[in-house]
Amino acid sequence: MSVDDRLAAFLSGYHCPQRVFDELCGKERAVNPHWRELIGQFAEMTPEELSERLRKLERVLRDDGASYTEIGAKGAPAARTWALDPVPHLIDEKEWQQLQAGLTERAQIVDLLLRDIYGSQQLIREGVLPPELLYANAAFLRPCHGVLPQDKQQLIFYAVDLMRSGDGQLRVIGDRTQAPVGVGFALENRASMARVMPELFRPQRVHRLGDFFRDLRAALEALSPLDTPPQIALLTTGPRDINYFEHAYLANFQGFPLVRGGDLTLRDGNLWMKGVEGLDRVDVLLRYVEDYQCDPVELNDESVLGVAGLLDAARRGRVSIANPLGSGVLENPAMLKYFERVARHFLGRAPLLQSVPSYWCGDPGDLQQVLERLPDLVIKRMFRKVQRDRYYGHLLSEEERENLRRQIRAAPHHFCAQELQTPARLPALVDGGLVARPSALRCFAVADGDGSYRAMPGGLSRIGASDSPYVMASAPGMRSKDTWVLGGEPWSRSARDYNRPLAILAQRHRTYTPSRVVENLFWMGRYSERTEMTARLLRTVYAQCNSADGDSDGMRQLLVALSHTTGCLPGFDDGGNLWRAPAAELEALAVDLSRPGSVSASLQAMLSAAEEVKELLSADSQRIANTLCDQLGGLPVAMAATPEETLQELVTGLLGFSGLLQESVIRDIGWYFIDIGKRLERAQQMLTLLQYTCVEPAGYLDRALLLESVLLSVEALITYRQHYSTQLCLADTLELLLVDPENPRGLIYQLNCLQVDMDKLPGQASTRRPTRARRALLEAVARVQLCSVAQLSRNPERGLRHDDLDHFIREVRELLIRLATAISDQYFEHLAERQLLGHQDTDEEYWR
Amino acid sequence: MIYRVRHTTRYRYDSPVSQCYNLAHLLPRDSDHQQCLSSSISVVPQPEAEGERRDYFGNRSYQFAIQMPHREMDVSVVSEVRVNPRAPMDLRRGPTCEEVRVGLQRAEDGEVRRAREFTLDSPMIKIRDSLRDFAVEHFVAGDPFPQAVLDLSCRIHREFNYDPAATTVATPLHEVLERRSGVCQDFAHLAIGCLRSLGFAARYISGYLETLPPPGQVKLVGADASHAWFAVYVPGSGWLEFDPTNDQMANEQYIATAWGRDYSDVTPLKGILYGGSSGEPQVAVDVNRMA
Repeated sequence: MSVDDRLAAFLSGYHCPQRVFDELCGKERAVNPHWRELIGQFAEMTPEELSERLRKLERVLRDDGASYTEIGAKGAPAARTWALDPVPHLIDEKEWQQLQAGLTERAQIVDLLLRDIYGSQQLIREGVLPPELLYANAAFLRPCHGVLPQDKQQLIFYAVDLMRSGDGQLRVIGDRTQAPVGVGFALENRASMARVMPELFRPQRVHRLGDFFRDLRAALEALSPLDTPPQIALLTTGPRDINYFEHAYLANFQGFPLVRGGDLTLRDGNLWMKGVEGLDRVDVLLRYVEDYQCDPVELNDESVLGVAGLLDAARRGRVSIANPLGSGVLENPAMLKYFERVARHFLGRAPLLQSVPSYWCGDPGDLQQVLERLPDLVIKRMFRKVQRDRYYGHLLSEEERENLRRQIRAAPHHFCAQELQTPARLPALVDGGLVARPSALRCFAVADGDGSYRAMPGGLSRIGASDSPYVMASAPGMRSKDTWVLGGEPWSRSARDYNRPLAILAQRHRTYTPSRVVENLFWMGRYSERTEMTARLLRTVYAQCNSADGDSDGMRQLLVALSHTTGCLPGFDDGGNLWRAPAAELEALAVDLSRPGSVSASLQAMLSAAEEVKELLSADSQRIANTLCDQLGGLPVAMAATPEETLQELVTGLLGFSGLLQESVIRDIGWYFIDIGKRLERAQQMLTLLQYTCVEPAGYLDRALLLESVLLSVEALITYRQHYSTQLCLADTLELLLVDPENPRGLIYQLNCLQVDMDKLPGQASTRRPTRARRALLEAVARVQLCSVAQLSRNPERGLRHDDLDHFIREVRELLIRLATAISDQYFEHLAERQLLGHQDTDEEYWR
Repeated sequence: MIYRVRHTTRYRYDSPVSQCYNLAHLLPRDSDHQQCLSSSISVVPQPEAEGERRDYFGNRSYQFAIQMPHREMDVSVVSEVRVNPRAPMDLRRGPTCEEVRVGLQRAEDGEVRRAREFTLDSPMIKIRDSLRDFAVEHFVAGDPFPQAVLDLSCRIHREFNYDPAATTVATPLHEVLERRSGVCQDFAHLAIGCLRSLGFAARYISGYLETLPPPGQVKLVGADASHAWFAVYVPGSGWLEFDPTNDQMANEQYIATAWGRDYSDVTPLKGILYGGSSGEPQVAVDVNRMA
């Protein structure tokens, strides 16, 4: 096949509907000049090669953890891997010049508008904006009025959503003025493309993205209230945010601490991060929390995502926030209708970028039009959750339309409408060929300090899952595209944005670790160990039930020990006969989520702790966590069928998780907290298990059963048989499990590890007098090192308990509890429950 | 008339509060009718950070944070306010209801446009058909508007029972309407809700009312209370103040602290605290004539 034939075959499925703008082809279906090289390269690839590249692209994105959270049908969040179409969106140099000028001009106007709204409100006084557009908008935050001087640039970071209409014009469909999402995804798109499709870049001169991130950093640094370089932190709502990947990615890329409201506090009028090492001042906040949630004192008092007193700190100039609180008011889609008037007010002429024709039902003429022309329009609610409250008039039934009309008439101020657009088509790769898909583009700009803006040469292009143009915005199946602005520098391998940004993560020296993070890591360690131990013991019990004499006292003691190590009491320790028919209780100990201590409950607790710190986990650990999550869901069914194998599989998964943490996590303060959690738990579990299997009197056979079970469940039976006689005896067992420093599951081994870990914690090694935690640990070590196994295992008189052993265990366990409490008191946050003073229930819809 | 107003608020907590962040609207503002000659606020325990500013509505708001553990918090304010006599008004000679409505709609100058802010829903007051239906009979198009407002105020006074036990600080408006009882905040909210539901601009005023002891008796210390009333906007004339609780227009005995769209804009004291648990605060107010 000739080159032309191959190209023709590759394009055979590409059809752009009539009267819709086609980005790829001009008249006669001829590929536009700036696309030819690129499409030719794709056409040259064999189908196998193409699908191989696609697989790679997917893997790269998954390994980087590029995901966004989708709220499923049942309201449960689910992480979806970011989908990237391999055909970039090309924007030629000339078009970019225009777009860039329009974008930076619009950012400037938006900034002036923001300053006016939160300042003198000339636009209202002079009748440029109708009063209700502002005053009826809950996103207009009155406490933010006058916070910043009106002569200062306020909008720092801006994005605009554009759609190209049938006539080829790019028109604005929305402004993003709080914390525009997408630059991180755009950067990840670029990095992934550069790794998987490097040869596509070579013949092109693609503008690099790196400068924009430098500009963003410079803009934030310029906000510093101090003369020294500021501490900049990125404020997120946490892992449940649909864009959490971007928050974590951007924070890592820029080296900003990633914080949540609860990690911050105001002291003496300044903003501080509460870290393990103490308080650390924050000067500039890059905010990804909606403005009305940011300060419960002056804004929505029910919000727990913000920081009490934050707005006042901004007002006093102690901290700068980008974008300033209150900027969300400009995301109101009704503003589009008035944008041209506003631009004329400020510039004396029409703006370079046009908006989609828009209507606001607060205007009587517009209201009439909207009610009549509902099928031709997209109706939006003016306030928050804009995405969800969007209706395509032509997709509604007549009954739904009538219902909508009623809602509009009842509160016209709250509704606006846009002419339905037919978005331009972009080429996308589907089943090895090109197809045309509806597209939208988000572009970004950042303040340059002189009152003007710099644009990111690129953006976030998105395409629909099907040819239907009306299901674009983050609908399932939506894909993104790397966006190439042509006319830049020639390709070079060393350019910053072709390097994998996540590499920076590993190099980063973390200086600040929030208490919240180490607390979650500590509990992740504890619960992973608890789950593993419980699963092992339960597996051993199932095995013994099948082989041993189910009616023996040894069996009874073993089951009682199980109830005590899990803490699921009374369980088998009910003094009755539950132990004679243990099946139901055993199953509950595996699968009952409502019983703290069961395998399921512990695993779930571990996974929630891991979720809270997921940005610190490697892609591999994340994957194992996902698998464990699946196993948790399937546990009831699997346990009913093959309990022993199921528990074994779970243990294997948990070992994989622990192994990765051991091998792939940097030994920083966070790792030590994971390890402390694990060691403490393992030591405690060991002590409890020994207390309930070795203290009570037992006959020869019963004792053998108990010791064998203990050794089996701590993976020490083989070691035991190698080192000691084949006969199981208490003394040798205690030797191996309590004082043998070489046994990684033994008690003294855990205590030794704890000593090493503790030295690494701030405020431990450096103090002359041992801390409370240190003292408890030293005492425990001494107790174990100095104990006499011979004495602990000495046979008491027939039928009596091993009181010395019992006493020893209780003492050491008490010391470990003291240790855990001291660590918690010293490093974790103990903020008392929050109360509201003078709280008024406002209309629940008010903050929507 | 010059008044000295003393307003103290005391919270007691069962367990220690580790820190708290508060916002107070307790310092009287200036207006066409009054000047605040002096005012001082003292908070115990001593706040670590504090500051006064003008809020969006021009009120004086005072924000403070306490960061030491405490079981008690006292906020006391002493202010001296000069209240000017108000010129008597013939309510029957004001603009008609229709004229006011049209004036607001046309909004020919900046002041009227800004006043339109007070025709809209606010956090605690929502426009409702039931409120419009309740009040509509008083607002006949050709009748004088100020008199109509006084009639509405009078109607509320007549048909509603003043009952401090019936409501908390501010009960949802529809409940007030159903139960036909409430306190001054409720009556002010009710009147505002009615006026807004008819397309007029009304705002909430929080402050104090001088109460005089019955003849021959000595005034008791702490017997006064904070009070609330409302103002309505008349294009060309500005804001007229009415007190539905006492069936009169505001006069020289009314001392305003702050105004806003409703109570939530001017809550005397609100905030976030960590720890503790508290019931209602003890509040004492004294309003005394100085000259």
